[in-house]
Amino acid sequence: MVLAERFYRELEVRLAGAILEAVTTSGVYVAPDRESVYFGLNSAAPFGLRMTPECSSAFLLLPLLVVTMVMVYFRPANAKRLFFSLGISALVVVLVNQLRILTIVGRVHGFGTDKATTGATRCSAR
Amino acid sequence: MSVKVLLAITQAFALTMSVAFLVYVVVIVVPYLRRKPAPVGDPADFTWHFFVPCRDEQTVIRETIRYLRTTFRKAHVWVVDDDSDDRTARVVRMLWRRHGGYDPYLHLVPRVRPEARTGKGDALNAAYRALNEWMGPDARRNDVVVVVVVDADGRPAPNCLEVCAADHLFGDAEIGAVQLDVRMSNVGTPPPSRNPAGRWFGLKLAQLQDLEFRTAIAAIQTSRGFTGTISMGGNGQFTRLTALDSIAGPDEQPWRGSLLEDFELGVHLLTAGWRTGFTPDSHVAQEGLYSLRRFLVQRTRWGQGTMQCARYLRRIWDSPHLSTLGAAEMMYYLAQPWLQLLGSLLYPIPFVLLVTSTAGDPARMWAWFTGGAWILFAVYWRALFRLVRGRNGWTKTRRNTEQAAGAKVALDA
Repeated sequence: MVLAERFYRELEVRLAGAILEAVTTSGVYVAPDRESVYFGLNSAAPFGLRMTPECSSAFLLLPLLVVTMVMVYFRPANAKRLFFSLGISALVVVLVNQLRILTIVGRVHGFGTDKATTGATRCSAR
Repeated sequence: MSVKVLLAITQAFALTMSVAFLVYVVVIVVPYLRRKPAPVGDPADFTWHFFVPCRDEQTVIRETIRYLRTTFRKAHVWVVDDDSDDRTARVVRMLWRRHGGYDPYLHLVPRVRPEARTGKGDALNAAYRALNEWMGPDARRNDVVVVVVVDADGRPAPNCLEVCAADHLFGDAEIGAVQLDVRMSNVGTPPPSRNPAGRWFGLKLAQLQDLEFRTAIAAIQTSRGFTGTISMGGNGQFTRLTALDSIAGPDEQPWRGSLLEDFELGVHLLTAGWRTGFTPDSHVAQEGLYSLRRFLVQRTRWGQGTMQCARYLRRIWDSPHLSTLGAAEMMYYLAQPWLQLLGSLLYPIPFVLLVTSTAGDPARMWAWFTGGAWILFAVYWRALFRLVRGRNGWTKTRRNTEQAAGAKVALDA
């Protein structure tokens, strides 16, 4: 995960771009080499979000992987169920992070860039 | 690895550990609050043997023996003298010879160095062997003999035998051991110190230990009833003799050598197929520590003992008697010292980075103050000070155009 985190972030912004493409009509552009997604391209104020390591869900998967690895090591007979649980947990983490991005986009659309990107959401706004 | 990646990993682990802790708190608090007192049983259905390990306990052992012998008249008391340097053994012998005869319910198990003073587990094993010898090889070893471990200053509540004899505890043949709730006996007695601050601190420390055992630990034990992993403590520990027999081995040593011999006993019982129980319907009272230094020594011993017990992880996971949830709960408990160590390495990283970035770009940090982000912190600290000082009243906030005109308004308060 640490070595491939940049590639993972690229995938994450591609997914974010696809979701934004589906739910907005104002134009979306994904720049995977900059791990960024731009939206509101047809509006007067286009805006971009960069998926930094702190904002990515990549490292949130690490503790889940560690716990699963330990439990599989101690009780290999449960491997199938554990990997299934890992898959569900990982999916939830990834989707919650996408929901966070959607929330930022919604806030930018509703309140403008100053108010929408204050506090916790500021980290990924570029 | 870049600083951002390091920070991201730190964040992820800190968040996961915090979320795991909060989930754990909710999971233990709900069953604890919902619990209702259970019915009791008849103590006459069982034979009770109190084991009291002693090492230089001259000052407290007399009252403890008197209390046990008068409160539980039909129970045997086995005092293990671990080669005390004081007059512990003499006190016990004196109490044994009373009213011109001998007390058949009081037994002294003397130990001599170099075998003595090798740990509480060894002292309890000596009492176990003495009990076996006393019962004789032909004794019927049925399920009704129960061994109770009590500290030399321990005071089991008078109702403890009837509570433990209940159908859901020793009345259930699958239950191998029961742990009582633990309370501190000195929550209202300040330490004999001439310094008022020392007296206040000592008393608060004892009260906090009482709070810890009666809330957090009781809640953890109650929730362990669902995972089937109730652990044993060093005081107020009830174990069926047949359960001890099943794990004693050829050396007759049911208690093992780690610094946390009580938890270790629970692990051996659970992995041998016994179930364990916990009851807050009765309790054992013990003295809370007044001294921070002694408290730290005690907790270091517990922490080191937990670390030693990590060697049982494989045994726990391999046991067919423990569910995955139960094994995971025990692993979480055994991982606590290691998680604390990991946390002490991880948690400072964001602070170090904050200090570094402040030193490198003070203007950016200054913007935090000028941008108004501090207002929430200031508001809540002010509210907390008002709460602590008992200032819960509030007067009307003055309007912008309003003049004071002598009346008190919130702006002036």
